[in-house]
Amino acid sequence: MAETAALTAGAPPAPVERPRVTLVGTTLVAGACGMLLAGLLGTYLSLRAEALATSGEWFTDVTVKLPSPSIVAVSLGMSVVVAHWALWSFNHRDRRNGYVALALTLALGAASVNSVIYNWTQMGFAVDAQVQAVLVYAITGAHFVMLLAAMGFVALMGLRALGGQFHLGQSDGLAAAVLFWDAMVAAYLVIWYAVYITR
Amino acid sequence: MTATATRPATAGSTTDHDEVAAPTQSILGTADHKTVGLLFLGTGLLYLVVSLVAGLVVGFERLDPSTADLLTNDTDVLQVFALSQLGLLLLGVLPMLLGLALYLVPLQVGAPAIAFPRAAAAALWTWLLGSAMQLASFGINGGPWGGEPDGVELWATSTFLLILGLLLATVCVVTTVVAHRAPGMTLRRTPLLSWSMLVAGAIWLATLPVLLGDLLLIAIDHANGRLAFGLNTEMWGQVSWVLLAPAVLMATIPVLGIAGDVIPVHAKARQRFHDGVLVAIGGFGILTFGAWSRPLLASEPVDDSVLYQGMAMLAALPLLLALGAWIDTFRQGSLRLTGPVLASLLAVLGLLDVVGTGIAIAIPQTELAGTTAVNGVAGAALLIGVLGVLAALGHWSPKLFGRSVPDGAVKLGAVLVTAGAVAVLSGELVAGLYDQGPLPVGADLRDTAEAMAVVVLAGWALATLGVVVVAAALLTATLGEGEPADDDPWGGHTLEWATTSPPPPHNFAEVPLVTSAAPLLDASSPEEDAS
Repeated sequence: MAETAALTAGAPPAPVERPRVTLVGTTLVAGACGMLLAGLLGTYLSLRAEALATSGEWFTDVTVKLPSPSIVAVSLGMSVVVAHWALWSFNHRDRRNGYVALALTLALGAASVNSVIYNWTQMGFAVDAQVQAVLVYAITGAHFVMLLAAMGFVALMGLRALGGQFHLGQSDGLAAAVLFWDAMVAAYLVIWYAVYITR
Repeated sequence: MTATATRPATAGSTTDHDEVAAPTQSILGTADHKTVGLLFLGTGLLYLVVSLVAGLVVGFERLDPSTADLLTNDTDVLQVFALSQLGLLLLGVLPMLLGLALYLVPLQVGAPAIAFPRAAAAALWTWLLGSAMQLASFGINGGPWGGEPDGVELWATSTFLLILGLLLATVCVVTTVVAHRAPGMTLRRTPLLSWSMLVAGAIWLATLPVLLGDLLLIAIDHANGRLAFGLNTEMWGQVSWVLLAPAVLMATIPVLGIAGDVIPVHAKARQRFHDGVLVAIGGFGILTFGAWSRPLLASEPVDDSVLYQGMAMLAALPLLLALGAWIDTFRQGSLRLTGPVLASLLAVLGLLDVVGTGIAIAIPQTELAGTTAVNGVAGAALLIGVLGVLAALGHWSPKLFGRSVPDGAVKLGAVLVTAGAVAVLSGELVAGLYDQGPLPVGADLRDTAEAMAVVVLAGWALATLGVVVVAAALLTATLGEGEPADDDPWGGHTLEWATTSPPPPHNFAEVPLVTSAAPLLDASSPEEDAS
């Protein structure tokens, strides 16, 4: 008992260096988001295969256009490059380039938000008209929330970096935000191919 | 993130106002993993009793499916059935296991706090909000088969919130195991409860989001055209896959970790084949991944697939491996049948029984797939989860509450819950052999199936009684003026026993250095071979 008392007595312990915590947590959250989207896409592809096998067509009475979703894909693809540019800059103690890259990442994210909403209005897909619409809105809507969350995460970590909360050369919070951003873009590219390209 | 779980006490600065405000603040404003864990555990226990009573009501209605006795009509019976089934998983077993993990895992891995303490608190309140909304939704004729559209949407939203809260808590627990371990504690040296929570957490994070997606489809479709997913009659089929094997077995993964931490301590011996048990828990976890078995994904019945049949049969192997290791541990030490040991052994043997029944269902010639036998597997698997919680309460109650739960109450509770699980499993299995369908209404029962309905009802009654016995003993022990428990009454092997009971705000005065899977055993018998 004396040993136990000695072990637990006194002031709180000094914090231990835990550089990976945010990164690990973000990986888990990104994985869970991926599974949510994978489940929805699985349902979508399964029902589409069934419809194609029976009636030979999937989207009826609606034209799914490619330009807008493709612009989102290109925007998000570019955003991955600039997000990693931001991370590289902070890891190499280059604040100026880091802030420019973060601003560009968020700008490309905002452009994608704009394109996604524009695409929804252009499709004219009534959610109460077809099962296909329910699936498309569930998938793209869930990804839209993921995009907004990624933008918020990058903005938050950018502000923290701006406030000097990360030591230069060791910006794990920003690395976590970029990881989530990558996962979000990867998810979009899968959706873009499965929903819009293959139609 | 810096852990600011609990504000350090400042001696001599307490005013009367602080004394009044402190208890409320310590609950509502806390991010301390121990308080959050206990709140998950306590409310989970309460909702477990509610779900078990709902199961009893359904069991009573099944005695004569042609009429509704306690309830007014078949729709009500189906709604209470949905509440009892999903409630057992999302309101009872998973929250209680997560409550234990939130409390114990940081202590086991030598961390001063849980990872993301504020997220853990947010998880609790999200889950609590969801649970209240869930009960309200059933109260206003919502839920699957519900007649009130707003109630149905409230049910979908509340289930969404429940899962969201559970997932958030899971992220905190898994991150703690991965990134908060004490110096020297490799994954191979991680205590088995923490390891099992790492495995279970990974499976829960891979499975429950898929259920979230299904709920999203239900909510969107129900609020708009009600074309397919949102139809009242179709909802249950879209979410009930999580209550069928293999997915429902994910609730039993931590039971293996609990048994793995309890048995060596009470046998007074080092865990035999520790690495083998780690592999067994990991292997069993992988075999419980069941998101692929959703009916929305498959055009053919899942039960006919080779994957389903293979997974069902393979699931027995890791269990046998772990059981063999524990039998050998008893051989090295001594078989002391304390309450936690009895509950652990009954849980593992019961799990083998459940897996065995799963194998029988997977064999096409038995024609049990699609019958009520699947409800037997689900019910028994969840009761095995409850049994694991009882074992954990018996073993870790000194650490959790500063008081020991009477051993006799744990033994009695374990025997009653086991008897309940066996009755539910065997009753539903035999009824399944007589072609009784999985829903509790509309069936034209044969005599034998009718008799089995009595057995199943008795099973739920025994399980409810077992839980109430332990809950009452727990309340008496914690609220009474009994002797405070010792810091380490069992001679524990892992780090949680190196601190006081209950632990101080930051768990440990200094982060201990770990050199084996049983650091405290090494300290007490350094000459023994730690390998």
